[in-house]
Amino acid sequence: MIRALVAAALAGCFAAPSLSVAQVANGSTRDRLLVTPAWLVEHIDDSDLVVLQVGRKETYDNGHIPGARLVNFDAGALSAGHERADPLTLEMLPADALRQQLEALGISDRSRVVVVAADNYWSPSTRIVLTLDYAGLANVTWLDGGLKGWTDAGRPLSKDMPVVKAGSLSPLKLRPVIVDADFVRAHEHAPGFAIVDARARTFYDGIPMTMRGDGPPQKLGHIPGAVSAPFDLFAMGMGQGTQLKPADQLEAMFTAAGVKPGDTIIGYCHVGQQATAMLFAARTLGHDVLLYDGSFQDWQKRDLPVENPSAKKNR
Amino acid sequence: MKGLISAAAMFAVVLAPLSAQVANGSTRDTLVVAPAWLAQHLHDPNLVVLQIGSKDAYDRGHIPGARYADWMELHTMSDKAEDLTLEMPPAAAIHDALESFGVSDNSRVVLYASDGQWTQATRVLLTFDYAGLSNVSVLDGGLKGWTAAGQPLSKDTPVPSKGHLAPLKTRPIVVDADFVASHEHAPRFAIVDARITAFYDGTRAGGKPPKAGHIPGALSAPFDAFTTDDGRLKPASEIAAIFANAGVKPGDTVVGYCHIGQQATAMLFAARTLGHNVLLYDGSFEDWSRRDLPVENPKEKK
Repeated sequence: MIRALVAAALAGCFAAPSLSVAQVANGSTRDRLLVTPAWLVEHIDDSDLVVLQVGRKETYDNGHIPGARLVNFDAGALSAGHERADPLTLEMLPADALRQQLEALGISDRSRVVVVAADNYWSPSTRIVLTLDYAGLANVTWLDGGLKGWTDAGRPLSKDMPVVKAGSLSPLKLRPVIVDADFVRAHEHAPGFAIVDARARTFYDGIPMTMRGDGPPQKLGHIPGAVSAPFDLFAMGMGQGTQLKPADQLEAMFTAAGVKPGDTIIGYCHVGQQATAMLFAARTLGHDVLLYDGSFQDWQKRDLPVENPSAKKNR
Repeated sequence: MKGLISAAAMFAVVLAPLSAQVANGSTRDTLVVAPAWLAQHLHDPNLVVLQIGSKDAYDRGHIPGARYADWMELHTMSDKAEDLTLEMPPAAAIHDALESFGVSDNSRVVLYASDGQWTQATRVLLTFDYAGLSNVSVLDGGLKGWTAAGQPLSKDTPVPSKGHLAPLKTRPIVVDADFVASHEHAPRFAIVDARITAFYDGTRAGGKPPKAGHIPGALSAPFDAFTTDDGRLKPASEIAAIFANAGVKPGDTVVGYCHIGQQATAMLFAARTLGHNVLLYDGSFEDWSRRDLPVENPKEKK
């Protein structure tokens, strides 16, 4: 009782009472989030299995894992915002539209989904994993090594277009894994939370950009209190056949960045894509994760304060 | 503090345009003129013909009435280690340089290259586009195409006259590393590497310091693939095939880069003639490698 009161009081110091509601329990274990090509070979004919390939359409047409369906990321599948005047805005779809698209891919309540990265679509593939987590789907995994892992295991590809029977999903119970700028501001330096910048270090450090003629001034640096863990450090093979690094290496990188075991990680990057790769790595260590989907572009537009390490050095 | 983290709050967030939209795609007819067309319009009062290339070549003979445009005046050039080699100067400097070339607000400008300096001409054309001046074309085949068409040359230097330009309204067609990193795999954008294939595929290392490979997600369309041996733009169908093979889709905005931001302008010019909107990552691979940003190296995959 006393402990609960203390916790509540602590939370109250830092943010709205809703802080405690912010908890999503999406941390997991590596075993539950990652499957190996060998596992997939064994389960490829399971009736509840849905394999989603994330990559170029041309690659898919030239040969995919038998039965796999294409998530046409280039055409804006499973994401919103491309139809706006601003074509980059990467946002989550409204629940109804998301459910429809998932059903069209053949996903049902009981499906076991395996997300496969093709080409170099690593961060798009982790974005899809996070999207499925947001959709409330429980049984979603990522194929370690992607499409190349499958072919390296000696398995054939198919050019046959799978006949997809539409799935049947209950109305989605969206999980609150997406947060906004207010939430991030309220959690700067909040205990139990780590704001992690997944962009390449040069952006975190605020190294000035190339001259852009007389373009609008840019904000350089990072969200106050954020630590740096660039997304590309968590994987081996940035192109074809991306594999997640071993757990001890992932852990060492988060520790070096200043993330503590048990921290809920709030990830951001440029627009909300690279961060999902870092967040996926964090989830395999058991961290609960949240995505600031607007990311630094939104932060900059709102003219919110930044910390700029390179400006400090030059002072 | 209602629903800080609710899904509803997320949909209320209206993001800033992450990229200002430019509509600089055009048609081949507006961007390329034939020697015969130029011969007919050579005496139009608002026509400004500019020769790009070496001053020596200009002095040896140029299209009658053409002025020499010193390419160097439209760039910041640096060989200092801490600077990027070639960058877009501030708008005021471009404004003054263009006026000194005799360009006014109502000018119809035709650029052409001597000495095979096609990429210099396309870089200058992109600079005009950046400066917000759209009535600019390139002479197909350059100086060689002009003489091959049996047209005369002149050694007379036209009387210099300064143009009058309103303050430039620059267009946001030059992007930086942050923009490029934000658009890896972005729907409706294609990042295109215009360096020769050996740099793209990691056989040779480019950049300062040298790094083998290319920007993640970039496609390959080498700058020299778009012109014929005699320096003319290839037919539209061939150009379309090159982009299609590279993986660029119709309607994509093409974000171009190369070593320092010059070769890419030739590729971007070809893309514009198909109607693509184009953006230049001016810092190019030089800037990318200096920032130690992630690269994909196809050679490493083997």
